[in-house]
Amino acid sequence: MSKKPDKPELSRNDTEEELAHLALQEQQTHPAEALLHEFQAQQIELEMQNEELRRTQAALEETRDRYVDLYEFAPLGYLTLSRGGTITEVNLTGARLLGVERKQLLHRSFDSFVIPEQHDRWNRLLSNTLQRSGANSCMLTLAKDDGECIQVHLDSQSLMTDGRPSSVSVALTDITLLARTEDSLHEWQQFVEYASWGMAIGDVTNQTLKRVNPAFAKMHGYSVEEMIGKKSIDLFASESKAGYAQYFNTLLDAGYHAFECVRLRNDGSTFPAVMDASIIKGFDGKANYIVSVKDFTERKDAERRMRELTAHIQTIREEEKAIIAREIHDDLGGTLTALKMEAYWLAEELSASNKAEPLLRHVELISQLTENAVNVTRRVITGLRPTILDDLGLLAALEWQAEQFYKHTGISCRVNGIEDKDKLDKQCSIALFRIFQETLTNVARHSGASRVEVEFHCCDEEAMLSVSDNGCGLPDGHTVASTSYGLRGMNERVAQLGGKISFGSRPGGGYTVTATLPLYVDRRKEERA
Amino acid sequence: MIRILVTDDHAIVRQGLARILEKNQEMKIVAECCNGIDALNWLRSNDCDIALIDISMPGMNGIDLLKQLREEKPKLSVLVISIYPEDQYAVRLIKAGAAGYLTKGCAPAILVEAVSQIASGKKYISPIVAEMLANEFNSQEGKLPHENLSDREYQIFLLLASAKTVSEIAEALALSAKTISTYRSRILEKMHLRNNAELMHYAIEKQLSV
Repeated sequence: MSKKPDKPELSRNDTEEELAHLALQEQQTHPAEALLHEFQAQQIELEMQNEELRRTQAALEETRDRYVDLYEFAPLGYLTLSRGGTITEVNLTGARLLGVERKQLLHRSFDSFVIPEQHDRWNRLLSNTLQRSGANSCMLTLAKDDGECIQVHLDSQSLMTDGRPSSVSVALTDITLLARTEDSLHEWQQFVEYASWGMAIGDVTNQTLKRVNPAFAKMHGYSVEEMIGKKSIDLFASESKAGYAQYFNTLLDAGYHAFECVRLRNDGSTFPAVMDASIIKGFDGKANYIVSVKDFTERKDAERRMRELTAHIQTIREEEKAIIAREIHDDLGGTLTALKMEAYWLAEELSASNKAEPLLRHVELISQLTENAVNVTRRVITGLRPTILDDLGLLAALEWQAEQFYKHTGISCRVNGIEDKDKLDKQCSIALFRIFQETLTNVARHSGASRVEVEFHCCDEEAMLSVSDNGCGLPDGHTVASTSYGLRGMNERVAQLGGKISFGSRPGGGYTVTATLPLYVDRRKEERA
Repeated sequence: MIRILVTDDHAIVRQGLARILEKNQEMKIVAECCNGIDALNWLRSNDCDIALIDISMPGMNGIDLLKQLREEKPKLSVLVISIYPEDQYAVRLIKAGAAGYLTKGCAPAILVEAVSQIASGKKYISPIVAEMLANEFNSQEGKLPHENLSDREYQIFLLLASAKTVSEIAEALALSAKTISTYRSRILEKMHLRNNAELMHYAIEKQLSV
């Protein structure tokens, strides 16, 4: 480090003034004194020179120290190796890199740090460096004494003494972190390359694609190259194009948006997809969007099959119920009726004779028991399938159900409707009837209502059933639980017939369920005509 | 002599009915049919005083048979006899022109009484059915025509009265125009009105407005 001079510095001006002053004195004094004066002048001169030298030395020391610093603390490891590859000099960074104290590094062979698989590579480099002047370099993996491995980039150069290479100077750059980053980058790249999800990066400003993975290109029927620069909107099928602006705005606002849509392929075909998009900022601060797309065809198909299966099961269930009801009615109903008539006849015959009096009581008991059995049979049949629905149509069935509801719960239930009985097929009738039953059950259970209004109409293109109560409705912020099997069942029934159903509280209290079914029968007739 | 046609798909039931009725010297079973088509065919070339019909039968059921008979043989009295309790069918079928409604397994005396009453040109209304008819009558009694409208009907009535068109109302209520037309005709029917002008007049008279 630099050192300040011990004495305060004399300025040159001060010294010259002093000299001039002494010269003046010399003329006036004795020769001995003049000599003394001469010496004194020389002394001053020498002191000045000394001062100058000390200053130069300090500056040199300072420079040397700076270079030592640069050498020791440089971000690179510097080593000097003998011709045989033994370490003769090493800087602090080099020692730290190799994980060994500097003292112990000296006279150790550099070879001992190179992993065995790369000894050849290292030896080749060393001999090349010694044979040719100029720089050489290679990548090496070094194993430290504690077993940890580091990746280094090694630059070597021979040092010449008397025109021939005497030693080798080596610079080590630790690229472990870089190698790891590259490694993980490579892994991610593989992941994106082989992912079954389509992935793409697009430019927010012009909404065109910048990069896509092979899956993305494949699912849209293009090559990866063809996709670059494509407008994002052009990959939406016509039915989803209208929603594009909204999708994009939501994405920009929230920074993230997941949605379902229909995508357009190169050949004009389409597929349902679920999209997952996010906004990311690049190094340059520019916004990009990244999307991943999953082809939902299979899932949609599975959902459709599931719905069809549910619908099928529901239909079968209703059909079976109807068959059982019919069989009970035909066989059991007829038999019981006949049995009862027989009992009546017997009772009448017996009542003619006094002797048979005790028997009469038994016959009357048979008659009563049969009546009970008939009542049970009616209840079972009606529970399975209200015959009124098939015989008199939905409106009559709704009115009857409403009366029953009033009888059992005391909640008045008024049905308003007009119906052309032949318009509704059995499937629609039973669906709406079951929805009505389910809704009334819910009203009785949860609403606390005192009145239910039912609207039903059936015109050429649709049948509409709306059930409103004056109960508590749903508390604010509550939505209908999608897990409720009753409501889900209603949804399924309506969906299978291509209709719509809505549930909702009304302003001012109360709750309304509205189901609308399209009536295809007429349309088919028209087509035929 | 009361000539009776019995229509039921169960032979054993037909026999039972016949045995009960024919104990009475006045009554005679002139034919037995097992479904609506058979009965209709028989009636087209034969005659009787009373047709006793079941509701649930294969082929043509009792309800369709009743409707057909009202058209073809309006003078023929039809007594419906069914396993189902009165609450499902009785009032509707009597409105549709049946002379009476009995549940199967009613006491034989009731059956005989009903048949003779109907044969004399009256209707047979059992006490249960009478109560139902009375209830139905009560619910409409003493109310103004517009008071019989449902909430939704009244809403549409007011909109029609304020000279809104069907499509305007459809848009306002998010329903199809067709639906509103259906409502409109139902409202006119319930209120015994013929057209929108009468409807508006009614609204002004009763000072009803949105």
